[in-house]
Amino acid sequence: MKRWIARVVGAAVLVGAVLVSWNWSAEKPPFGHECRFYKTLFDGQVQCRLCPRKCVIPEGKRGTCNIRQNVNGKLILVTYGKPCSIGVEPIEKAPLFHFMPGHRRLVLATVGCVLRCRFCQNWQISQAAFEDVPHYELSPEQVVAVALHEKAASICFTFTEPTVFYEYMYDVAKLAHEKGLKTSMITSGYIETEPLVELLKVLDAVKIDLKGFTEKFYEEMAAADLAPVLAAIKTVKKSGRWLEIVNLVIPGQNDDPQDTARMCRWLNENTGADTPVHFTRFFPAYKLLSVPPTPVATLVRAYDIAKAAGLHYVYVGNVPGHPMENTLCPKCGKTLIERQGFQVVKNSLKNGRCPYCGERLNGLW
Amino acid sequence: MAFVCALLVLGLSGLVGQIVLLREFLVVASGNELAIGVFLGNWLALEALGCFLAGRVWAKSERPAAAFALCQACFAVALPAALFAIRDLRALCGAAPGEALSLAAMFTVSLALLACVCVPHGALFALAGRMRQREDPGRENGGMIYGWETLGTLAGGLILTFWLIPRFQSFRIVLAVSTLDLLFCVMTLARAKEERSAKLWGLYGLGATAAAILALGPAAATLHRVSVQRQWPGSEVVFYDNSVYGNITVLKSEGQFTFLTDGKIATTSPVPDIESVEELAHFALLAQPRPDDVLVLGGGAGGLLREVLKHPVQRVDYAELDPLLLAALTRFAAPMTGGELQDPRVSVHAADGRLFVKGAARRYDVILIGALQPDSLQANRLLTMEFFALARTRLKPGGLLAFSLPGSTAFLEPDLASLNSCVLQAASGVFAVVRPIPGETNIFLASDEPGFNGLTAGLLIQRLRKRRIQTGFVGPEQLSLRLEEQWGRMFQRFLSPVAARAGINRDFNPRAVLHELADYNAMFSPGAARLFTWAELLTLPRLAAALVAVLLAALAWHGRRRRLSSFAAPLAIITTGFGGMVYNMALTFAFQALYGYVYLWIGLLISVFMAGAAGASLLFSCGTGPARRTFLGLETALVIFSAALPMTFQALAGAPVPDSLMKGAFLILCLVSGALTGAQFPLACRMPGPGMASLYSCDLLGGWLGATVGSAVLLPILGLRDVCFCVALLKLASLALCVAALPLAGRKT
Ligand code: SF4
Ligand SMILES: [Zn+2]
Repeated sequence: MKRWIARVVGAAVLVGAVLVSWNWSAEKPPFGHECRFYKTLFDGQVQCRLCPRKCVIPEGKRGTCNIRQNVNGKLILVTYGKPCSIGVEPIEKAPLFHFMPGHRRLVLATVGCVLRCRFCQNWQISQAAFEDVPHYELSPEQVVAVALHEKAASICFTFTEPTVFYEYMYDVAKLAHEKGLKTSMITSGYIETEPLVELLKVLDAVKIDLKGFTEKFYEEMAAADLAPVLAAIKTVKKSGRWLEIVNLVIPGQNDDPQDTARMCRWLNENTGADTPVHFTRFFPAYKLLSVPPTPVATLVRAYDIAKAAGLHYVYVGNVPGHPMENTLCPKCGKTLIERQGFQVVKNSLKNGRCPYCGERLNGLW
Repeated sequence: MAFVCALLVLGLSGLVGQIVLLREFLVVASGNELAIGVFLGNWLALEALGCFLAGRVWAKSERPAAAFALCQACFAVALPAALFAIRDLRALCGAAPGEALSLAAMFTVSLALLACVCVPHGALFALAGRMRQREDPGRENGGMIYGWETLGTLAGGLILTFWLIPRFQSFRIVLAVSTLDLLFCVMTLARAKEERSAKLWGLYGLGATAAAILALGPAAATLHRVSVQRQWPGSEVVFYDNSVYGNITVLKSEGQFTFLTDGKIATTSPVPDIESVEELAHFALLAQPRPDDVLVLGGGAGGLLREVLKHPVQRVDYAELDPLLLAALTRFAAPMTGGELQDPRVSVHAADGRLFVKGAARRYDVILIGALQPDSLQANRLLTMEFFALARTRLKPGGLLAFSLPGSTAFLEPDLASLNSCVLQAASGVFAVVRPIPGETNIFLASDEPGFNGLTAGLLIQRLRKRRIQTGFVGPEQLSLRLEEQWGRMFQRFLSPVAARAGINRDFNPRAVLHELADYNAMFSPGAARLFTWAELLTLPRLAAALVAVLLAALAWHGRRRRLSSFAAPLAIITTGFGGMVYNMALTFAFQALYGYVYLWIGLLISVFMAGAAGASLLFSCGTGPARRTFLGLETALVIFSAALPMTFQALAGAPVPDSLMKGAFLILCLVSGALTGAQFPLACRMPGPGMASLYSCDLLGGWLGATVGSAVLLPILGLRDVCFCVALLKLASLALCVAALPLAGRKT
């Protein structure tokens, strides 16, 4: 008799445990925000049209970026209003050198990224699941209020890939413009043309990471393609928004001078000579822990190549104190903006013009 | 006689191969000592597999000598090949040059590589037995073979540690071992006079000659160069050498030298990571109104010293652990590094930072810890509470200690937050004030002077101007940016939730290394990180409770029908095997925590341990008849030893004993722990229950569990003390079981 009681109780406990854990693991409806660019497919699947991955997402699942989820046939941005990082930093850290130099920007990011770069500097948030990272609750109104309170002159979407929190970014940027703040995005350029065109209406400046200039590099190092990035660069340029390009030079991976030369020629043809290009120094990060930092000689060589390709504003980055961090007048060659790391030490531009020869420098000054 | 020599060579080549490969493996594993446990565990398991397989296949073989020679030849060929492959592990795992490897990948690929080495080597043991048996049937030989082999191991440990490693490159060592092995193939065959084996002599003789030529000639150097260069395509390897502390590699490309210690980048010249170097130096020295005497511990050359010297300092003592690194830095000096080291204000000491601080007569205004990450026990030695307490006594009144840890302004991942927290807590336990300056790297200023809490950007900027310091990165705006309140708030937000579980970083409970490792694992799979978080729920009381529950259940089941009698001895052997491996690793890690050069001593520590085990095992295998009392006595001794070991560590660490005595104590502890573990085996064979073969498996199972679960999981989580207590509990449970279950008349029925 006793044994039977024990068995019955045991079975009941087991069933209860299963039910409870079932309930826990069941998808809770995320209180996110419906996405703008997606298509409903048959049998409850949706296709995201935001970035070139164009994920087909079955019910309950998420896209590659890990934050866009199909909830009952609707695509939901899980991280809307839930940034994981917020702070105030100088714009030079972006780096955006021709965008109101020396101003303080509010930086904003949520988790998630469309790329898988082996050298990511923010992998703790870019590659994370939303649930694993603590976040703030901030509506677009609140973000703008924080920016105003902190006396930031602009709001900058950065750290991870802002494309993935598109709707949130869009709403924040739109509101920021209404309140007289500038906006910028630091992106890999991995985004479809239609959403990008729409987004550019509420952005002032865009920095695109052109990580390399071969399909092989993009494929092996970031699990992505080069072509969409080039398309995005052209789109931004065409929109007239301020554009700067950053190329992180990784020894042995994307430092071939011939590739650099091809890249610079392409940039000159497609974005004009006045688009600033930064060659930044790589430091061991994420999985590339034992790759040496980029020799400064490599960066200087890239600088020379870019200059030879006719580009006007070329910079060497992540080498604080290097003279190639400064902005020179493309006409008379005088140093106009002097930098020390993230600080602007001297800015002698007068209304965007060289005080020595009167040449107008391109940028948002 | 020849047979004895063959056994000696068997033991010797096994140990030399094991330690050489282990050291190379550590370099690929970026110097993390926890990999030692995994490596040894795998080695043990694979050797056992080889022994088992050979026992099956060649049990009745009429030509065991031929098989013996074949296995030995396989080992001789596989050893250098494995060395080459381990250096090429990245490529084998499909990673890019310089890319970090996940522990899982390292584990599986190294397992496959080791299999080629260990399985034939393990088989030799069984085959030696068969050879002996065939020549002289009716004699029990296990003990004799075991004894001589272990003696060979011990000899290997001594020769390797004191003669081979300091003089020769890995390839030369390994090829010499191969030559020796192949020579003994010929000898074994010649001695055995088996049918149809004469032809093979020639073959093995040829092999031995070839190996000898490779070992002695330029080929070893070429192999070495090629295998090293393959790891670093795109850069030229201009220096690659081992010191007692680890491996130093220097890469050159486009006029830049990169210095790696154990495969990790230590510094780059002529242009270092300017941001971190400048920030650490200037925050620390600007915080100090009169930084006259400065001590830099590690990481000084390559920028940090240059920045320090920009301040009005009178004297800088720079202690760098590894003289080989200093030599490399001087040999490949860019103008800057050369200038730094030759500045008249700088005195360079090739000394361990800890020992230097211990013996320092001078007191300092600023002590700077240059190394960035506590990613190994060796590096962690400068960030523990014990060390902070020591350093505090070497500060002038108002002096400060500065160090930095990885940080982030975007998001401080929980493991990194824990890392920061456990070191911060260690410092806070010693100093009155610890002022964090959070940023991309977090800088900490620790002092007994409460004034540092109120440090303002204004004051620092004023000093920067007054001292006329020119920098590339740290300017007035950067100083104020770093001291903005927002970062402090953010830092608190990340740290407060993890503070409790982060623990305090201590010598024998190196929490920082654990958190660093967890962060590393999270990089490859967040799931693994969660596993670690789960594992952290393990605490000593919980384990004790679980153990008591299991014990009670077992005893209840045992009941009156004495069902447990035949399980008691095997269980005792498993727990002893577990404990043995844990002692071994605990001693290794403690040695590393105190001295930092286990890289040199590991071979010695292991072989002394094995010698203890073999000696005791031989000693106790003499008797026959019931041995219940001795067995129980040993169980009790093991319980006491486990509980006393951590106290001994603590006492040793705190006591002012001379170095040589201390190292002697380590060797004695190794010997004793080996002896206690080894003695039990022959006694268990005389207890009721399974026979010798099954008990041997139990022993290996316990050892393997000890290496993997014990030293790679429990040790970092529980710390040295608690893991030893854990073994004590385990042995206590096993003792209780034995008392209850072993029949009074102990002879097998
Ligand atoms: S944004 Fe995300 S869900 Fe959409 S296509 Fe890109 S990776 Fe897929
Ligand atoms: Zn001009």
